[in-house]
Amino acid sequence: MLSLLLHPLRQLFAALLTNDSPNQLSIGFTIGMVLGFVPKGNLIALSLAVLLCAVKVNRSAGLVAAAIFSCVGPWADGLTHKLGSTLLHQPGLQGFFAWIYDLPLGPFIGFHNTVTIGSLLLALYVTYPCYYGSHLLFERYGPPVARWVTRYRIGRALTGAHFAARFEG
Amino acid sequence: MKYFRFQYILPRIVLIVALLLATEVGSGYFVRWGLIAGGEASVGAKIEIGQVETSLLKTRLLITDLAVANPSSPMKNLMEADRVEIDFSSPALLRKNLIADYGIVSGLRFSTPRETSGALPDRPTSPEKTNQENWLAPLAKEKAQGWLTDLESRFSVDIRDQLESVRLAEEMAQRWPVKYQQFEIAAREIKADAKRLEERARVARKNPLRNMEFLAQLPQETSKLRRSLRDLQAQLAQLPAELAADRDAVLAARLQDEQLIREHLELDALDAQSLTNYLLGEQITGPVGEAISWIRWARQLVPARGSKTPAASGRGEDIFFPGSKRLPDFLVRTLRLEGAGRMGGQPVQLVGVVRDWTTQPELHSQPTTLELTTTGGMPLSIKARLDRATEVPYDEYFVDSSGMVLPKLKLGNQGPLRLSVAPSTANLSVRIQIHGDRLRGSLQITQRGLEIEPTLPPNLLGGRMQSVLAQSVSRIDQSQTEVTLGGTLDAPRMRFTSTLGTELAQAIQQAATDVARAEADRLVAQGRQEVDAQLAKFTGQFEKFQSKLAGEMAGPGEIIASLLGQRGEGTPQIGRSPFGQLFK
Repeated sequence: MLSLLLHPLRQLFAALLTNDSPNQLSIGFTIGMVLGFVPKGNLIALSLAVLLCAVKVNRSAGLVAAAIFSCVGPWADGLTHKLGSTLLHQPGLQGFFAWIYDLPLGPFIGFHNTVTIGSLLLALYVTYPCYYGSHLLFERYGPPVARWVTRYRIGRALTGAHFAARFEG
Repeated sequence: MKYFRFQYILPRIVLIVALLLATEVGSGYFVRWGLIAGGEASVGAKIEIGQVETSLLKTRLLITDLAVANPSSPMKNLMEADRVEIDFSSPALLRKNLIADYGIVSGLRFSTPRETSGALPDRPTSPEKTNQENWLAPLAKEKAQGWLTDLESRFSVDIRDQLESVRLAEEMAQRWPVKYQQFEIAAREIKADAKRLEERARVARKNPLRNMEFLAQLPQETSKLRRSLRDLQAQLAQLPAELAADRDAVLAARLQDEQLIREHLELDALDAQSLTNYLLGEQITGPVGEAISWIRWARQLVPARGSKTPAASGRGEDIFFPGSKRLPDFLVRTLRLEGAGRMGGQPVQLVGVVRDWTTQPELHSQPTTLELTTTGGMPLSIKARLDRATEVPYDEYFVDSSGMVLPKLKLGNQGPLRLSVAPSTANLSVRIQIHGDRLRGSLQITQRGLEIEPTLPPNLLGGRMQSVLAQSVSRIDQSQTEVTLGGTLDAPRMRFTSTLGTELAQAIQQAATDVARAEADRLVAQGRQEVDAQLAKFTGQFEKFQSKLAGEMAGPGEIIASLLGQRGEGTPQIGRSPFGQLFK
């Protein structure tokens, strides 16, 4: 149970301690951010999850971001609903959305839901700032934080390093 | 390609294929779990499923041994089915819709008993919403029962206590003997006085000088005695007139008593409608109530149009675009029903088809229809149309039957009058329309070959009326009953008329009148006999008294006459005195 509760924290430290580049970390974080924003239970969320796992990016950073933005996302439902509603009610786009909806698996995509498409739009809108900001953070603060974490026993415990050392020793 | 993790992707693809294969084999368990959980949540009672077989590739669903418990009666199943087989449309499934062109439900049975309770542990049993007793005008039943109770009470009350003639006759029986006795005592006293006076006179005449004073007073004493005797005779002479007056009073009272008896047994008219409600109320409200429960259940299966579809995710709103093919989440275009059951105690086989059954009627242009026919003892043709074309749901039901065999019926089970109707044949026609919540409809039953046997409680009235009523009722051989439905689904109202009620009311009224008339005649004759006997007894007693008293009074009269020297004369001779004789 404790392991389950500490899992997100461990994921965060694991993201910092891997040898992935800041680029991989920030892309993973950005994909996770989009995944977190979008309501789950549709093919968009599933595709984003598969994408996060399938491409060579930092999964841990992505999962942490997904967890964080899954909590933040519902707070933005008012905004994303208005955004999605405005888009879905655009007369010029009605035919396009109707075509998507009529495709096999179309209703599973979730494009007909105001919050799904609104949150996807919002997430895509903040993709580059998120990528840029996270890249900056991982590049500048990643190595010092990793060193600071490994210095303390609790940090090592959280990353699981001392368990590995015990079994190796 | 350097961007993809093939060591991650390939195992997942293998895993997905394995999962699909496993789903093909084991998805039945999940579907079974889902059906039970979802079904129990919507029905509110246990749902039991023997086995579920599904095939994602063939998009086919097979359910065996399905039992849906009745939430209102947990020891009964709402329905049971041996086998439910539905072929779903694959393209519709890819569009998140469960749409079946054809399905079959076989081994269908309704209202079957359960061995264990079908109530859900965390949900109380929901009783029927309507109280069928209130469907009828509440006073009607009491009115009919009141009439019968009143009839019974009229026969059970002893009216002899209220008869004036009997009271007068009894009062005469007490008064007149006392009067006779008083006369006899007075007569005896006069006789004794006369004898005493005669004796003293005889002694005095032997020695007149010594009894001069007595002899001087003897005429006065004798006159006084004669006056007493005459007064008594005068009173006696008035007795026949007094007795005749008493007799006349008794006869007049007897006439009034006869009128009272006839008025007491004069019956109010029995209201045919009240009797119809009393006798047929339970027989009609039971099946109609059951039918309305089924209609309510059907309304749950085919709900009204929803104004707005909530988002499946619970967040935001699902928008449906003009021109897109919007289909209902669940639609069965044709569902064949085969089964058996019992209707009115008769085993029946049923075959039918449900068409265009959907839980989202606003997304389907066709109304849901049901065509069901039963064969066996109760051949019925049931047609239903559940139209959700507008916001206000509209349902109509037609039930027709010709020559159905009605089982033996017991009418008026809770009251003093019970009728046993032997199995008969009937034609049935039912028309029900429900617009929104408003209920409107009619039910007509024409019964032929009726054999009705009345049963009354074995008391004073029952014993007398049984045979008379049986004879009256035996003339009724057919009936026509019409029920008019109104009110709402939750508070239905019904009013019914029946020739059976009217004819029964006439028969019962006639039988009761005959019995009451016979009872009145009997009471009048009995009263007349008693009074006549009493009067005859009086007449005899009076004659006897008269002759006895005449004998008693003859002696004093002779004595007084001899003392006054007027033997044989009733009136004294003025001027004659004992002294005249003395000096003769």
